[in-house]
Amino acid sequence: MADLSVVIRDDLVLATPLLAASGTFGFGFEMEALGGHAGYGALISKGTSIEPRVGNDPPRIAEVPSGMLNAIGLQNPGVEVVAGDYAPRWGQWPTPVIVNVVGDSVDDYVNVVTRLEDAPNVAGIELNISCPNVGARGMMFGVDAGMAAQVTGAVRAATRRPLIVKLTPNVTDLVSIARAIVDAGADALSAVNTYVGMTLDLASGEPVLANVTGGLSGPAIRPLALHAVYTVSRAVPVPVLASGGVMSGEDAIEFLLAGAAAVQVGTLNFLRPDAGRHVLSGIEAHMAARGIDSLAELRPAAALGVK
Amino acid sequence: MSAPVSAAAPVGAVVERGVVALREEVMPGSWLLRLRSPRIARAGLPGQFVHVQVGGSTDPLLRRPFSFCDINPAAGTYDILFNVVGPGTAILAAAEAGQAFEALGPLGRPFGFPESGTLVAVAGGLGVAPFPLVARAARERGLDVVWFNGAHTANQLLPAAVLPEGVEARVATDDGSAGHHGFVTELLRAELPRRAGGVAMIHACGPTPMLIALAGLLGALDQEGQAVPPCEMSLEAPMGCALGTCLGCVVPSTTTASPDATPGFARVCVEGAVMDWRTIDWPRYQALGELVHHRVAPVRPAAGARVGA
Repeated sequence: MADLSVVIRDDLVLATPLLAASGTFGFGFEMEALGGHAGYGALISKGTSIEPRVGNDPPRIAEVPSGMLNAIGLQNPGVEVVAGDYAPRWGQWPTPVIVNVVGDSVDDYVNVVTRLEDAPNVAGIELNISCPNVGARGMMFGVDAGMAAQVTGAVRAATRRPLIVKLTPNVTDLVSIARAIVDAGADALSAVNTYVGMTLDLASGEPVLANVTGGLSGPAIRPLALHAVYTVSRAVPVPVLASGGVMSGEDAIEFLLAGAAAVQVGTLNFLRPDAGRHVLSGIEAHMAARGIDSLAELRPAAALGVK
Repeated sequence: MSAPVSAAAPVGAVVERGVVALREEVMPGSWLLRLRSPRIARAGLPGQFVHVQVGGSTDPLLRRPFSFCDINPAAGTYDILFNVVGPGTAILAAAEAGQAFEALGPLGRPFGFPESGTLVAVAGGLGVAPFPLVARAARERGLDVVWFNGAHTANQLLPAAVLPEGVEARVATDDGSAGHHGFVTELLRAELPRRAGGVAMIHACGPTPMLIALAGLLGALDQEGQAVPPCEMSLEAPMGCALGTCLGCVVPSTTTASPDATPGFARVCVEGAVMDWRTIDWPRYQALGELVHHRVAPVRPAAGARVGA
């Protein structure tokens, strides 16, 4: 049996190189009922804010060629429910849960993370500093290196848990932002969040999404995300968790070859409840066919993501 | 907010390949697809739905939700009814006998039934889809069924042959080519007060304006102090996962049925697709306009009108 484990930090070791991407897996409960945790080394929760959020008006999703647009608007029950009700129940699962955190201000992020310090079974924090669907305030931290570093540093001071920061690709210079975040204390980066997009109704001439714009995910963005992972992983000394339209084991392998330490599976969770198992079995088949026993062997040294 | 997470909702749902046993254009532009899928057929209830993977490629990407139109557990088959409105339904309408489509189901909250009395079924357009199964289940429970069926024109009314025996039908068409010339809710408005004491429950499915009109009718009866029968509506929304995780298919709601449905919205896939009309926030629902947008103009499939037996 091949060793597929991945060390994100000494205290965050994934049994497989796959993570369920934030916003595609709820808080894990619905998918657990269908056996959907199988294959994943970790689950990343829906974005969690200090207060409950109602989210955007519908329509919230739209299908586009080989992808989908979403503008959910960070609907979530707030950190009190997540920390007090959900987190204690995550202890029943073998798969670690990383909590995705959202906010409108540095204080918001720090307050959510501080509240989570008292909660059990939180394997790590992923900062969403780049939600494209909640107006300018949601996007601002992720598009500016200084502000990205500021929020990362403030959260770093508030928790010793593994800290992952999720990059938005909707920027002009991804590498400088990635470097600023790592310098501010992030243990790992997620690359990338959705690309801003839109689609119109031809009959009415109006945008399909009530929010006008949405985040594009799915196989349509895979080559774009692959380039971002390739670029960022060469520029920073921390693990990069790739995310962008993975539909198969082959797709995940492609991201690993490009320099990712691990790979997130997102939109595929909407298409099949066994997404994690499906992608993992594809990775295993690829490795078995080549007689490879470990992920380190899979990746050529040049693609390891360390300069 | 501390109610149990609705993890129970997808329980019982399975992924199963459904083999095409019949594909027939039952009304112009409306297709019935019968899939042999014993596990889903055995478990499905009136008002529940399946989430169908229409192709093996990434375009179209998402599954499509369809209510059970009818189920034959003994034969291990279920039927879905749809209009060809885009690339996904065009693929289904061109299906060949023996071809398989993978589906996830059964999903969602089913219709409830009264202990006794009369069930009024209100269907508009393709909203007729869940009612052959509903009517049969109601008749098996010994209920009287009155079916109010509205369509644009006569040939878009579901053929009476699919109705179980003993169902009383009222028909309305927009162009007056059959039955009442006008909306089905107008028929209902005229008849409901006369039957008010005798209507045990209303089931409804149809276009948003019909549901809004029905809610208005029930609200008016309520204001007049008249008896308002319980009413359950099957709703439609653009849907992602159908499992409650993506939060894409929400409608404005007056209640919080689960913690993930934060105040303000309910998920059609989990809190629905069948919802109590009183839990829907009608002013907000009306303000949103049409939730379902189709990306391409209707496509006529090239294949013949019927395959299978």
